[in-house]
Amino acid sequence: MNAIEVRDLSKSYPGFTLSNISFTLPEGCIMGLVGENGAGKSTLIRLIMGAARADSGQALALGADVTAPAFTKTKDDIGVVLDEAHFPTSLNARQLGRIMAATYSRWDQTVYDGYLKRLDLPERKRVQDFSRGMRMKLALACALSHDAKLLVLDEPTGGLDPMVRDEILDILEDFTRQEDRSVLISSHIVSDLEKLCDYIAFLHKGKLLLFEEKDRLLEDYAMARVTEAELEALPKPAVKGTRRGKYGVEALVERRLVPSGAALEKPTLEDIIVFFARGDKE
Amino acid sequence: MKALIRKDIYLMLTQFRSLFLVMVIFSAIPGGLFVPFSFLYAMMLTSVSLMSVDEQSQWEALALMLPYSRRQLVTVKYVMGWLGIAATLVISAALQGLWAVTGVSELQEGFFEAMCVYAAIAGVGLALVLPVNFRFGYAKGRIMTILFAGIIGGAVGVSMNNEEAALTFLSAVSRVPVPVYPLLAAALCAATIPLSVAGYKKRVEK
Repeated sequence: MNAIEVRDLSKSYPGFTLSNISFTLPEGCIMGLVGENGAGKSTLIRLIMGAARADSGQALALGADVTAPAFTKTKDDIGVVLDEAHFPTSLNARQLGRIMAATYSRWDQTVYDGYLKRLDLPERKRVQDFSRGMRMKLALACALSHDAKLLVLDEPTGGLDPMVRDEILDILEDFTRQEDRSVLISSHIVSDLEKLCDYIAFLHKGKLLLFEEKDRLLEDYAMARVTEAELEALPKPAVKGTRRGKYGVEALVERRLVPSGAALEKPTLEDIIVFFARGDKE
Repeated sequence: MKALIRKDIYLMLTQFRSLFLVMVIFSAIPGGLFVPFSFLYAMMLTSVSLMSVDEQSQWEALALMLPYSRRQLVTVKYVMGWLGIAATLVISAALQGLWAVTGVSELQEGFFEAMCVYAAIAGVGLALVLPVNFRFGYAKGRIMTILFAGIIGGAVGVSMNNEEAALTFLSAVSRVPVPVYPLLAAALCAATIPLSVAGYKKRVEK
């Protein structure tokens, strides 16, 4: 069974269109959803979780149609972390635990208490007195304490300091040690996703520009540092994006289309994403 | 549903303690003149005010992704509203009864019948106010709440100054066994739940 299947999903708002998004996240894999602010990441996550209605297309999560009434039950197997926690701020972690215990059929209070301890979260302090990092950690503790099969995270590390980000990424790595667990995580911090993900989806201005296995992306593309003349000599379809500087041109190229012998460097995931976006601009 | 009720009760206890005290004070004023306001206050506190807290914390965005149906997310506010009305009924009856027993003030004739009518009016308030709030959100929906509170407050004010009108009203309503009114209001609420669900879906799923 696939963790998530999205087929030709479209949604329009005034001034923004998410158009014809299709991808499949196999069970047991981690997918990073990358894109600039306003690219449509949160909209796509809302559609996948059945929180918004698509204009067309279909989304399945854990095999269930997200628009069907039965999806409410499927959500018992899904853990969610949104960019701003969204808990009522006058409540504390202990009260939230009790609410979640009545929400999820497989809620494990021991696991939750363990996370509160591990993440240094006070049980009786109100959420309104938590820092952003603490709120995100609390959201993660709630999402991970009911034996979820799929974790959906919308910008969980945005605006957090590197220490907290690292802590969160460690927890996500622990979560995915069990083979049947899958994760969809959106972020614009590409380096976080590079550490964690099996698949990368790049959303740009409402369109899915890339969906590929991360390792394959890193193998298929390369950086070429060339002069204008050398750039002209490269086959046009090979060049995915360019950046002109004082000392020449940096270009993201597709390895298999570049003549052998050309000096190429290994790109980072961030290079690939940035150059794809630039290519679109040019 | 249990989780949502638990959440709203926690919110009442953490955020509305002082407002709850005001409701008790209204219920406790000897003579029972302010009991109608107590019902109105409880109704607004336990439904509309809770919705405003949900909106402020953006709880809705998360709740839509948790294993709650849209119907449960809507129905819980009706349930909380009726719990508030029931609590007011019990507290007002207990306090006014206590004042009567201890001789602080007399229990007015038809007090318990009037309580049933107040409960019914608050229930009708829920049926009118909640669909608007679910469709348009708290910020816009509160206009309906204010309008309803204004009409009821005005009617109570008129009846306080015009005993004849109040007695005519009570005599008219007592032609039917008064416990029927809260039941009718509850039935009206139940009938508006689908409307609230439809309005809620339209607002949040866009």
